[in-house]
Amino acid sequence: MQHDLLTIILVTLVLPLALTACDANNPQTSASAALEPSQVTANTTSIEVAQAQDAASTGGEPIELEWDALIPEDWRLDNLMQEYNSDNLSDDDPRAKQLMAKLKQFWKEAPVVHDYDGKLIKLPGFVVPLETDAKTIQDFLLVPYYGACIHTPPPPANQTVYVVTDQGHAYQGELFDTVWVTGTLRVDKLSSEFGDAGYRIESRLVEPYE
Amino acid sequence: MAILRLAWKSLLNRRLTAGLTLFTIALSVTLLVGVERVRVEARESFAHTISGTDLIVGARSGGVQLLLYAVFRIGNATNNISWKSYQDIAALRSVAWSIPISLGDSHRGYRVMGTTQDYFNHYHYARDRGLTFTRGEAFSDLYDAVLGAEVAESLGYQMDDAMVIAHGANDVSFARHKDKPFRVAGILQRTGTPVDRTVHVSLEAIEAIHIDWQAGAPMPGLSISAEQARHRDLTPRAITAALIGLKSKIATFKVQRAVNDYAEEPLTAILPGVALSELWGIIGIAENALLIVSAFVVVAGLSGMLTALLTSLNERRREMAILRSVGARPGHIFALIMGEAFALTLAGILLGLGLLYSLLLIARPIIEARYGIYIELGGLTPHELLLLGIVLLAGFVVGMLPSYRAYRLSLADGLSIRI
Repeated sequence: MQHDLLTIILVTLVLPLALTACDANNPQTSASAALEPSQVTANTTSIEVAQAQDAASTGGEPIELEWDALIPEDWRLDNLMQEYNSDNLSDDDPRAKQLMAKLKQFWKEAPVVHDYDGKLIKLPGFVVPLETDAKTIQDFLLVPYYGACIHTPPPPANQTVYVVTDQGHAYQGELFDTVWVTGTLRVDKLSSEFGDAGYRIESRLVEPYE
Repeated sequence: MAILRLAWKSLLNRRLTAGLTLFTIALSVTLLVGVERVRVEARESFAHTISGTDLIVGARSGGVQLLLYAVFRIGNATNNISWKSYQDIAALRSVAWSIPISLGDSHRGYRVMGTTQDYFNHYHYARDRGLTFTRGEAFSDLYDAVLGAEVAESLGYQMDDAMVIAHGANDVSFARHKDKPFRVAGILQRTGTPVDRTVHVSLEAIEAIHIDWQAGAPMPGLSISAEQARHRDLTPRAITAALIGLKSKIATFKVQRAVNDYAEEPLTAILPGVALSELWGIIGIAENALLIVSAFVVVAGLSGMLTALLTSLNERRREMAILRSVGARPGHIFALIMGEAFALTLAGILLGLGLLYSLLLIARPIIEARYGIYIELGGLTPHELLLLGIVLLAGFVVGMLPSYRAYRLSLADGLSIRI
């Protein structure tokens, strides 16, 4: 963070001066003391808000999800590969072509799981900003791997989550930050060439992934 | 109270050094807060310029470059995209709306942009604000133009005035489309974005003014009058870029991929948010360098104060001694010097802020006209206050050394005569 960087620079430059003068007062502690409490309180308040609200709606902790949980059981690629016994498949095998066609079809349909619709969930991922201002990201896409959308074909619709942050809980960070998003998962109707539905999270808390 | 008056008089006696110290601190504070302010405001201004647009499509190039020329009118397009490609993309099922834009001409230094009515309906900035007209309405006739607020104001255009568009994007141009003047049909409300500095005309108008420019210059003997041009086929052949809005944000990557993989023409689609982040990444390096420099300047300013205070101690040996002899305790002397350091720093900060705000007031219109960056003259942000707090604290700490030395000076030291 640039703000912190500047603070550190100022403090480290001022420190020798201060030491030549007198060692009674240490600006480093006062500067960091001034920084940290605000961040800490900001985090705890949003956690409290989130917990208070989820307690009201679902009555409990958010469900921690993995990205696989967003893909229907019968759509998972490993299952398909197993079904076709892909290791023993030669390229000329008509079944291989069938498998390929099926894979493409699956990729395109990208069906969604409805199990978590309306539930409070917690999902990790990478941030791809959509709506931003100077310091915060209000809306972003959450994707399961770094560099999604640039180097490789993009993740299917059911592996991309549109995150809308609450007013005042916008995320302060940058492109491809790794974060935990906590919020209510919604399945949206989606009429496109690329699937019929997609996920959206109404987020109350976006925190760094650790 | 008496001691304060004495301190003030003593300071007045040393007004040149004190004034210079004050000025150094003020300058360093101006620089520090100024760099921070411009950094934040420039970002704010950039981030506010485009909102609600999901993808920007242009010829194959870098994301940042496409963003800069398509949205901020900085730099030039690498290439055009054909009208057919644009229509193919606009026809994708996921696309809710699209705005074609065509750049390349100018009017007295302001860019001319060819677009469609959709621009006025779908273009958004600053989260969710749309374009509104102060006067008139969107272009309806072929030779109608809609002016941004800044263009209308600085060139003094009124409704229905005639204007001539020049070929190429420069203030001075010798190739003007004189035969096809435009009429001011509408003036937009000020937005604080590059829209203010743009002249908007229809895509067909861009086509019409170039209809006899087939070889890159007007063909002699082949000039086509404004009226004749109306009856020609004015379907655009190419556009510079397109802004795309999607029905669902989840399809963003898919549409982007579809555009990037478009077989008939090399195209690039970018997410404005991502391109902005990349831009911050590039600018960030320069910003850090500036911040480091300004931090050093603050330190230099404070060292200047330290030097001034320490040297003044020597001059003031007699002053101190007299104060002591009339009953001042060492603690009083300590407080006196401390107070002076603190007051100098505080006054320096206030003077610096005054300087900064007057500079911003003067530079604001120039920066806005030249770079399209709109700087808000708001109050101090918490982060700026923190910076100033650190400076004040540092001034306080720096004051301790001379204060301590003055505290240690004995009464006899100041009264005895040294050779």
